[in-house]
Order: sequence, then C-alpha cells, then structure tokens
Amino acid sequence: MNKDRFEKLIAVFKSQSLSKIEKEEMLKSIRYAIAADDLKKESSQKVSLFSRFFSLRIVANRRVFAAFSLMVLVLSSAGVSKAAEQSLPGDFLYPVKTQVNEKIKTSLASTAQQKAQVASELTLKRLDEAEVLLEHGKLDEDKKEVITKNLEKHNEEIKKRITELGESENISTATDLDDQLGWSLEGHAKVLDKLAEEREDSLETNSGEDVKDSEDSEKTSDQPKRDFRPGHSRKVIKELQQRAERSSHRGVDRVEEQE
Amino acid sequence: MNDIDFEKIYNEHADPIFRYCFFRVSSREVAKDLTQEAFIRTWRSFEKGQQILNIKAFLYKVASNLVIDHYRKHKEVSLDLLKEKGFDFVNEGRQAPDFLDLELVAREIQKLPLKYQQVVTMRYVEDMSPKDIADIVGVSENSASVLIHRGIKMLKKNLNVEDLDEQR
Repeated sequence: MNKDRFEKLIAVFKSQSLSKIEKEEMLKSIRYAIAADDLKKESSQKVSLFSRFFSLRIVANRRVFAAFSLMVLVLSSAGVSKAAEQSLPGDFLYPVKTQVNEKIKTSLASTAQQKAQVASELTLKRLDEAEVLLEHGKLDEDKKEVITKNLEKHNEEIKKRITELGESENISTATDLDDQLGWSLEGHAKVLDKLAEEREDSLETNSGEDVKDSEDSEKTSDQPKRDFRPGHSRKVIKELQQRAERSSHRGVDRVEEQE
Repeated sequence: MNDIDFEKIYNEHADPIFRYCFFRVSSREVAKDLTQEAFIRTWRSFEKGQQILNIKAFLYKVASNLVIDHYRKHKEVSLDLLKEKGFDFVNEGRQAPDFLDLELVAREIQKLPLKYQQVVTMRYVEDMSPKDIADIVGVSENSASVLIHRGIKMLKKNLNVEDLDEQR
C-alpha cells in the first residue's frame, strides 16, 4: 500500500460522523437514562431508610436477623439479590451481594480460566464501588477495609488460577487474562492511587513506631497476616498497580520484538 | 450542571467521541452505544459532584475505558462478525476509496496493542496534540510521543505502507 492510499483511507475514517437523526436519538436516550437515574435515586433513598431502620433493630438480635434474612431470601430472593447488586459497602444488602450473589457466580465457574475471569470481574467491581464511595466522600476506613479485604481475596484467586493456567502449558491464556485485567485496572488508576495514598495518610496519623513495625514485618516475613493492617492492604493495592503497569510494558515489549 | 450546558457539551463532542469509538471498534452500532454510554457516565459523574476540569479529556477517558471493557467482554471478534454487526462503510454511502482496503486498515488497527490503538486513533482521527493525548492517557508528553510514534510505525509496517521512517 502506498502512502497516499493510506492517508486517503485514514481520511475516510476521519469523515465518519453521526447523522442528525442519530444524534437526536442518542440525546433522547441519554435523557431517558438520566431521568431513570433520578427515579432510581428516589426509590433507593426509600430503601436505605428502610434498611437503616432494620439494621438498628436487628443488630441487637442475631437470631432475628438470621430469621429475617431467611424470610427475605425465601420470599423475594430474586428481587433482593437484584437490589443487592446495586449496594455498596456499608449498605444493608451488601453482604447479600458479596456472600450470596458473588459466591454463586464463583461456584458456577468451572475452569481455571473462568474462575480467573470471575475474580477479575469482581476485582473491577470492588474498584467501581470504591470509586462511587470516593465520589460521595464516603470512603472511610471501615469501607476501605471491606473493599481491600475483598480485593485481597480476589487477587489471591487470580494469582492462583493464572499460575495454574501457566503450569498447564496454557501460557497464552494466562498472559491474555493478565493483560485484560491489567488494561482494565489502568482505567481505575486514580482510585488505586487514592486507596494507596490514603492508606499512607492513615499510617501517618498512627504513631511512628507502628509505621516502622509494619514496614519491617513486610520485609522480614512473607507470611500472610489474617488481621487487617494498613501495610498489608497497601501491598494488595500495590500488586494491582504493578499488574496494570506490567500489562502496558508488555505492549511496548511486543512492539520492540516486532521492530 | 444544567441541561443547556450538557446539550452544548454533547453537540460539541458527540461526533469526535463517536469517531474515536468507531475507529477502535469498526462498528457504527457498537460505536453509537459506547458514545451514548460515555455521555451518560460523564453526566453521572457530574451529578455525583465529581470535579471535571477538562471535559474533553474526561469524555475520552470514559470512552477509552468503555472500548477496553468492550474488548474484554467480546474478546474473540471475527471479521465476519464485524461485518454482520455493521461494518458498513459501503452501505453508509460514503465515498469509500476501496472497501477492502478500509477493512484492512480497520483490522490492523484492532490488532495493535490497546495502548497504541488509543493514541493512534487520537492522533490520526482527531489530530490531537501529543500533550492532549498525554493528558487523556495519563502519561508524560514524552511517553505519549513515543507511543504515538511506535503505534503509527507499527501500523504502517503491518500494512506495508512505504516510507516507514516518516514521523508525524
């Protein structure tokens, strides 16, 4: 192909545009979506008032809570699990989302590839939640803990499955999965930075000794700690950031190989 | 943000964002869906009170993420499927120099690593400056120039375009 031809083809791409009708229709659809958002917001405010009322009373009595949960699940499991999908850490229905809906999803994945894919999707979902909370200024320590703990769990699963795939000589699938997650994580770079950065802030507010302790223990021991510690959780965030970085480097490497 | 502002933003950026998506996915229908979603998400971010300093950069970022998600969900997209889904230069009645060649360019663009697809599209289709591209991709201006150069070089090499050393 000669240069002129190439430029001409690029010009065709440049000339693409939406027709007037397409543009109007799209604007209409956007307006509908926005109006639907407003409606959803109104109804979710009602739900959250309802859930707050119950969470206050129910926490006092775990048996009632269990019975109530069972009743809700039996009577309207489909509706609840659907509603739970929209919930965020701290919401009444959030445990339904992570402990019921997502466990079902995970158990339905049979191959290592599917399992890694589900774990990747859940990782991105957690980051989406963190983004929403961050935007609302509601990303406090408790919620960060919930999200980071879940991220840790998903990350372990991804690492395990990718290693499994690599060992079963399915290296290209493993790399693809790694790449895909890396690319998507790049889109969440801001919230990852925020999670990492705010962790450091929270460390600074602790005593200086604590900081040193957690850093030392990271260096000297690779054993996973079960309890939640700022230093440990930051490690997960760092790993996710590194994954995003690696995938973009691989892209560059590929070109260099071709060159 | 009020309605009038949003409409203004929409009218100004709908076509470029659509073109950007189209260049990356080669399907009018998919590109339209992604464009629409990009505006909805941007509006939602406004609603949530997120500070958006550069609306153009923000829209491109959202659109890029949507394209990436689209690829993640539909990883195996064959060329035949692209045609079925509306790869339709000819039917659009546009002056197509050669349908097969266009198809070839589109296919090669989609074969580029994602990061190059992004910058090559912004540079070629939208004539954006490396600085603007750097803002959107979130890298330094220098890195953006390197990415653009390598992406274009790779595309031209794959298409056997002459004068490989040309720099844009």
